[in-house]
Amino acid sequence: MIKVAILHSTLRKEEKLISGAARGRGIPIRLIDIRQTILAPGSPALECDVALERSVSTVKGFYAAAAFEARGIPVVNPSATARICGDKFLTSLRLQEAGVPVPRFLMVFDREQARAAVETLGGFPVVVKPPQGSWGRLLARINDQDALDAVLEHKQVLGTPPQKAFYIQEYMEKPGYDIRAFMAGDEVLCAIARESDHWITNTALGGRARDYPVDGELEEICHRTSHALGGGLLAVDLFAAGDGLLVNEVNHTMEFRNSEEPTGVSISNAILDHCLRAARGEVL
Amino acid sequence: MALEIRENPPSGICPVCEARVPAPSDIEESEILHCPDCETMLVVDSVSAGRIELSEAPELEEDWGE
Repeated sequence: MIKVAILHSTLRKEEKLISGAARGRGIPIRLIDIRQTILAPGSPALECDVALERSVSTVKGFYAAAAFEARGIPVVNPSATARICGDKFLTSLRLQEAGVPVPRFLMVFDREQARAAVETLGGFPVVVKPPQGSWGRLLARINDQDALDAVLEHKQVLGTPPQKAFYIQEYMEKPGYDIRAFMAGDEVLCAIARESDHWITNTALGGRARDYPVDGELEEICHRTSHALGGGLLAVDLFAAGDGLLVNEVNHTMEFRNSEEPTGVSISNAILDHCLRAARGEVL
Repeated sequence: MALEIRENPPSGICPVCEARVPAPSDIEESEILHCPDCETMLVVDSVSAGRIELSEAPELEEDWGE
């Protein structure tokens, strides 16, 4: 019987849904709190057939994934995927290189360069994001030069080193929602529209999820995104722009607690199925 | 008449205000609960024999998310 380890830190609803689904199917699982684990090569505490990395801490999860990979244990998602998806600039670069439509973006480290950069994006408004971060935190829609100067000064003075890398993206006017597609390998499991009156639509900030039909265009762009990033369990966030879909960002430890009910899809079980395939060597 | 035996749901004591904090029957270590009295976010340190040990949950950090 394939033994699945769920690597976690703070246990979220998602980890409970996955572990509950595993127990319901008789799949042996082991919950490993990586904060309580010594990640030493050869440690007997790391024995399992496949590890599902579900740490809420991106940094800790990345290192835990690397530790398990070093022991020859397949990890979902691999540390290479986590490294790219955990950084918005790296993600955008990889997707653009693969020809996946993305909003215009750039990075600067200096406020004067930022002023010039806004012109290359077509002027205000623009969005300044931390290259590493989630849940819609620390996003700033910048409407004019004064706001740009103030936000970047705050980042330079108060921010941690990653905050001093200014990832700037063109602002995309949305039709009241954006889209999240859930992928397991090549399969688009389902999609939701995240509706909000606010320009930030994360459900963590109150965005409301409803089922969104998976059509040919959505499938095609998701496939290209997945291939560009190495496959795995991905939540692809997209904008519906005037002339088609654009990929905003991709999440590698996707949250889905608000998405199983509106879509009718058991994302938890799909995650387990993907882990079992990974244990059998059936996924890259 | 059949005697129905009901187990009490697990619970713990809030380390901040000492209120009783009830938990669902499937509570696990590392889960987050809210104290019903002082609303402090708490983390489950251990679960044993219907009793949960609680401490204040770690604060949200810069790299948390999905």
